[in-house]
Amino acid sequence: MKAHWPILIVALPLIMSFVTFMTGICYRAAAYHLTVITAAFSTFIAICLFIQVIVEGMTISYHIGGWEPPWGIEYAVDHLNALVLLATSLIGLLTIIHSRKIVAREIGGEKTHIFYALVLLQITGLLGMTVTSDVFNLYVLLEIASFSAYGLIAVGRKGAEFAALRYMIFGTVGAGAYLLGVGYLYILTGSLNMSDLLRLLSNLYGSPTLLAGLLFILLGLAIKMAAFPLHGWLPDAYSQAPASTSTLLAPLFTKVVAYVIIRICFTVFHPSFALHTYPLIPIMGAIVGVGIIVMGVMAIAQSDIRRMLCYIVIAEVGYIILGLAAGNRLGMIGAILHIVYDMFMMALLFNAWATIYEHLKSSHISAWRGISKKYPLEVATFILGGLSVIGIPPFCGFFSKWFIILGLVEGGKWFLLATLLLSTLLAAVCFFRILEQTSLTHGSNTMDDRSEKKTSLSEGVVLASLSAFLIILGAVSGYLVSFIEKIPFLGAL
Amino acid sequence: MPGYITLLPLTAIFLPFVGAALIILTGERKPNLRESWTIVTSFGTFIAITSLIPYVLNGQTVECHIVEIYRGLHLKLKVDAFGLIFALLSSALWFIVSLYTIGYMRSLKEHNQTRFFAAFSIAMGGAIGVALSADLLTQYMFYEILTVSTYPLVAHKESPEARRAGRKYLAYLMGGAVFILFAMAMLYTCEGSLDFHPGGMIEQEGRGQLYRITFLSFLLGFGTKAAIMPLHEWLPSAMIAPTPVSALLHAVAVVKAGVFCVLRVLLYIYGPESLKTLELSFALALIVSLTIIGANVIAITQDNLKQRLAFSTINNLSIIILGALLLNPVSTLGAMLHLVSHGFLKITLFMCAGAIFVQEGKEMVSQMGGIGKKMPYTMAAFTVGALGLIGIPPIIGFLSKWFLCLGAIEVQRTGFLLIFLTSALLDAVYFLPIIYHAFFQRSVEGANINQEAPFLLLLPLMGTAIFSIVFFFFPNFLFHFQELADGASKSIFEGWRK
Amino acid sequence: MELIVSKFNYWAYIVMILVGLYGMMVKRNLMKKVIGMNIFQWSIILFFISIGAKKGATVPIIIKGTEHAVKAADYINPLPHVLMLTAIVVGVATTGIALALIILAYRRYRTIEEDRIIEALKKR
Repeated sequence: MKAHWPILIVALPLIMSFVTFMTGICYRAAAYHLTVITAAFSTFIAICLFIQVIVEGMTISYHIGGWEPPWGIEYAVDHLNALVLLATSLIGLLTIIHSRKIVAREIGGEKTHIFYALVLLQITGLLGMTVTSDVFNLYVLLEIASFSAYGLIAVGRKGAEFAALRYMIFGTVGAGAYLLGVGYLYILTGSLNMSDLLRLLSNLYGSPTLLAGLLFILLGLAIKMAAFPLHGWLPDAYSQAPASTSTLLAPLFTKVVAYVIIRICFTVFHPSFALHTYPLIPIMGAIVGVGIIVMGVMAIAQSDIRRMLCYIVIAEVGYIILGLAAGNRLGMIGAILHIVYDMFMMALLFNAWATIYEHLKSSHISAWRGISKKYPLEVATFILGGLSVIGIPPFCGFFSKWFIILGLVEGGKWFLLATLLLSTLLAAVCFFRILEQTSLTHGSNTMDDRSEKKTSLSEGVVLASLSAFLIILGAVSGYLVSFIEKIPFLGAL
Repeated sequence: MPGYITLLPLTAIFLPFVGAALIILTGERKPNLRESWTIVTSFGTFIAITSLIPYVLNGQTVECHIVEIYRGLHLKLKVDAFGLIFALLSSALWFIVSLYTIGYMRSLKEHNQTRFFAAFSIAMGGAIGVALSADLLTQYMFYEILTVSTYPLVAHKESPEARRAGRKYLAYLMGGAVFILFAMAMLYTCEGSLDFHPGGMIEQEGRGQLYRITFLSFLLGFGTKAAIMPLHEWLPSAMIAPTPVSALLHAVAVVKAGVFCVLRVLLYIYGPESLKTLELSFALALIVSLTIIGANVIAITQDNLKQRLAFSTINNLSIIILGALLLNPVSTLGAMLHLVSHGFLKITLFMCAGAIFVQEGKEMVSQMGGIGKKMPYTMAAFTVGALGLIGIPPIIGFLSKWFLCLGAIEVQRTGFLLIFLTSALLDAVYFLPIIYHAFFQRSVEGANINQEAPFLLLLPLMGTAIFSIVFFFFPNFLFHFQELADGASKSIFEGWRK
Repeated sequence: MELIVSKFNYWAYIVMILVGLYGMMVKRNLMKKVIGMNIFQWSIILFFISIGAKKGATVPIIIKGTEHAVKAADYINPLPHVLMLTAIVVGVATTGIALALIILAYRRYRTIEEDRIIEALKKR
């Protein structure tokens, strides 16, 4: 059993997705429980894999169907993706638990089982993208995640289906570009296995085909991760989606794709290829650097809080690219830390937002005026997440940002450093504005009587535990950094 | 040194946070219990810090390693003489002021007291954390906690004006924090460490320009909190906060934390030698001197008592920095003592201003004629505070200014000596009229009945006034401030000869 | 000229991709957008299939009892074709979802013209 964990973590949600769908037809109430059990089990496997990686200190490799790579598909868990797997599955679990009531209201009784089937499919895709070490298999899993995302978004309010369609067109171009890039690599090497590719590509670095291949792959992934200026789909898609969808997608999807970029650029190619031979990542960093400023300004300009959060998501993903663009060890550590930390921060922000949205039925900033008296826990956790995004220590967001800053200083990337620091201020404006609105302004007392709804215990527990995570993760940054430092390719920097 | 001693600084820092949690959990339902949490935690913190004095006086440094982030980057606490001075000052005054705060908030029936007391407690935790940090990273962490937790206090009134003041406060301080972040990153990249070391830790050989930029950046960062002109704008606006906040945070904890950080950077990161060779000390001294004079001139024009006190604070903060910039042991001793004396004196003045506001609802100096007859004890304490700040014996303010002037003479900087003296003169210009009018002018309403402030308000302000006098005669009374400051300045200038 | 002729498969797919992108970006009708998207996807699939082809090679099936060693050059590379089976499935699924979404949009707005939908969305 233990030996099969790398495949089980992907196969289990996949199978359970169909099981949930089928049982849901005759027994709908089971859908939620099946989903939670599956997600919990995935989290359990992720924890076990994480521990196994710590104990064994090397890559756990799994050959599907017993076929040796490079012929068969290989799933591998190493120091890089063990962390991402754990964070992804844990946040998936917490979000599903949190949004139970919201799903019940938004989706309605008849379709909940379909919704949960899609949620599980989404988790399948995300975990699969993380664990696979086959570039084509990655494409398939990326599309599985994307398809379920299209579906999950389309059930939202008016305009959601149109936003989903636009997301889909963007996403298909992205996936196509990625596939094209994989094709180029395949022409050159005849292999699709990542470690095999690294070996075969080592004497092909002069080839223009290779450069074109990487360019297409990066283009595709940049669209999928909503890197500026290819982010156009994200604000619409995530802000028209049902609340329960955006709480699941916003923390996870873009960050997992960012992980894939790291995986491809630094473990399929030699790290110096995309950094120095052809400075693709630094160029991307410069564009994204401008982007995080633009996104910060856009976030301030929004009056809808979810939309504001969407722009913050884009800016935060940009930080990861900035960390990579620093091109050194510290920046890389910062980028990887930020993938994990940002998942938690965004999960907290979106979940807290969803809880308040459930109560107020409005996401407009004016509706949030003076609500902290009525919803102290929800507002406090939201603000906490915001402080973490701004980068106030001791919350975890500070530490990843700090490493990215150190990396940028060491690499002498002054422009990127300036953009990062400026965007910190822009984020501060966003969140302190909300703090001012919710806590330091007298609310209108008109809706006191109507909304008697209380936040349920499970929602409260999820919010509290996510906030606790922000502090705990900040405190254990040192251990995480020493864990991340064991990633093999960091030695090459 | 017994092992549990290393836990003391940790306790001192975490108690306020625990207190804040308890305050929030208790909430509005049981105000008495809630207020007792404030008193208990402030007293506990005070005891924890006081019990560290003997070890530090023996020349030991108490270190407490929390967690390592990366090579050369730690979160750790260290209690040295300088840090202990600030920690003692904040915790002692916090305990005193917490009584005053309770009296003040209840008398005015302020809203949202739970949030107020919780934020207050967190802010104090931040201030004490700043004092006891062993390196810049830890210090930055507490510095930011202090910044953020003070924001709801500044905007406590929830009026548009208060919100504007809060925004201004945040804009200045968050903007400053970004510069600190940058400077810290530069420093770490150059030195591979952020630890404080008495007398400086940098090796600036061949990287002079880099270190000048870093210094400027530090200054723009910590200088905002220390209200060096032209970065002082937020402080007078922040006076809209309830008076206990102005008293403890905007006269002691927050702004002093800024000055404390500036001194840490000057004396424990750069050190006298580098400051001299990089030609930074003189340039900064000029800026600071302009602030000293400028703030006092503006203070004369202010009619609002709290505004006037705010500009006086700006003036005194810069005096402390100037003392350190003269780069000799005597003036540094004076600077550290002035940190203490200004803390005690200014808090007295603010508490008096608050008591007057509670009793009479008056904020303007021009309305305060004859108030000395109505509130004799309050105004007596006010007089002590004001005279102390001018530098008249027998009040501790004289002592610190005396050392500052001695230091200026020792390094033969007559110009800076003149600055100190002029500033004292200007202090007199705006403080003495208040006292004169209070006691010798007939009140407009004419009523000469004794309308003294409630006991809870009166006790703390009398206490600090009496302490200020006692400290003049016995500078080492209870807290050993002078010995600590002496030890700190000696350790900095050890092995350095002009 | 020789560059074009010898690599005609690449040029063909580039042209197709451009046609597909044109359809997706410029056309305002949602159906046409989806058709463009399909062309885009099929062009990539054709590209993959073409790289597996070899002149004079045969289907990659080894007949039982063949005595001599297998020469790779004699056979078409089967792997890209197998991969494209998956990609075709993905493509079909994409089309399916796209059509479902268009139906949804049509039910709500009674039109599949992008401009009109945006107008309708602005009105609410």
